Amino acid sequence: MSSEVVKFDGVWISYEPGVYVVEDASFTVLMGEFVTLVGPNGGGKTTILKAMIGLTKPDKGIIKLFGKDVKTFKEWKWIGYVPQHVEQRYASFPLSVEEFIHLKFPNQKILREDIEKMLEFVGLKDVKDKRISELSGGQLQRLYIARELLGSPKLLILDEPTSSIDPTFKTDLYDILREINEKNGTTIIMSTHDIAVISTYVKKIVCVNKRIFHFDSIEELMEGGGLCELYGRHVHGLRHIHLQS
Amino acid sequence: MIEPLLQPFMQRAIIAGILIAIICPLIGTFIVIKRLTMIGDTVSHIALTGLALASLLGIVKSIYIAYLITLPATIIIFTLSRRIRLSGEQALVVVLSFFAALTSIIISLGGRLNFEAVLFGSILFLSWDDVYLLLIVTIAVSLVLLSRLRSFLLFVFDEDAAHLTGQKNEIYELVLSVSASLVILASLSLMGVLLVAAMISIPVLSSMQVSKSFRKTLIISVILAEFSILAGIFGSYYAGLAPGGLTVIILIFVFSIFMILGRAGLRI
Repeated sequence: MSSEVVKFDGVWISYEPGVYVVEDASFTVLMGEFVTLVGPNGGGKTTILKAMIGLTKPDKGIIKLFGKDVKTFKEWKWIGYVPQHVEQRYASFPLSVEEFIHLKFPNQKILREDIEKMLEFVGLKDVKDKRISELSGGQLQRLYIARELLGSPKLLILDEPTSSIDPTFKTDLYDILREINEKNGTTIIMSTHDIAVISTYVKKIVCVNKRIFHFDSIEELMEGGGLCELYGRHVHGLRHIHLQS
Repeated sequence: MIEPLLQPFMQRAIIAGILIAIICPLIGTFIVIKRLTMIGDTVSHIALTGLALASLLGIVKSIYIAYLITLPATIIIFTLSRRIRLSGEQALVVVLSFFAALTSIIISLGGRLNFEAVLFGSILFLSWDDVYLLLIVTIAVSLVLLSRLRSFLLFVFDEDAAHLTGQKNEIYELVLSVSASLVILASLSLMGVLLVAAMISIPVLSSMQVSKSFRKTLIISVILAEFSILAGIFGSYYAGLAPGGLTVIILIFVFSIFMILGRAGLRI
């Protein structure tokens, strides 16, 4: 198996002819890394994550997953994916929490005790008998993460996983992610706006605003002023928090 | 109660009603989740064009022309909507309008339709051929959907997650839309062009108000559909009313009750 889990090589992506949301993106994520994508809204973070797993097709360039072109990649069970705004997808449909989890594994038997253990792990022990439309946005995000973790993915992709989660669970979630990254060796790629918080968790950072602005250690990013270049303004407080940590 | 059962036209209607009340909510559950409830109206409008064209051409077995036009049209709609990135509902609205206009033109050219039977359904015009066809469609579509229930559910519920299981979403979309077309076409004789969509969506929407899981939604919607259609058929026999219309009125009444129960917090 390739040690390069994800490789973008000169990738251009557009939704309308000639209007590119991602321009000439090139970067590599190696096995066991915990990488985060940061950047302003509309900068292309979600597009990059979707293209990574074949949900969005690039106009130009090559995307490889575990050394294989994403177009011919077949080992999807290695991938876990938590999309953005999960709460908007399930407004009213009566699907039980257990049915929701089983859905992801159509040809696989997942034991009830494993489900209960995982729900407890993400702090959702009390909701297993509810229907998912009765869960809050934050609970749904945690449920989604629990489901993906049950598949023991080699690569876990999370698109703004804390957007609906209350601040107290945010750090819990990042602790969980760090644990599975360090203990299981799961490669994690996550987009987020929590730059100040994640700087203590991740080792590498991809800055995206149509183009890839920076891809290096957080320390180098902080020193080089890449974040200001990315957002086009000063990001007050971040440096202070980072130095404190 | 025994008397209507002795009438051959009632026997056909009851058997057809039982089958429709199984297969319409079954396909309807997926259609409602996928937010494609317009497909019922659209497919039945395409079928209407087929029936009008058959009458213009002087073809007696007009329903077969409806099948010939509707099935390829459905496939084209879904292929195009995916390619040009229109949502399912947006594509269906455009297509529905096109076929309604086409029917109007065909009729102005001399096509003749028994509008009452075609639009609202009829017990009297229901033949054994219609019942046999409905039986075949019910068995075939049930087998297809139930044999891959979880995969179809994953497709309608979360295409991204389905993609990540290696599932070919295009194939599931095609199978689902062709199945929906077959179910609608086979149900037309009894329910009529304007009312068949109600049979697909209203039992599902009713059961969704109270059920706690997908499995229960499916079971409750079939029970509600069976109750409504049999009450509609028997009611129409005794009261001399259109069976399709009466069935839909009962369905809406049941929906109202379930909505109140759901709002009151009842969960099954």
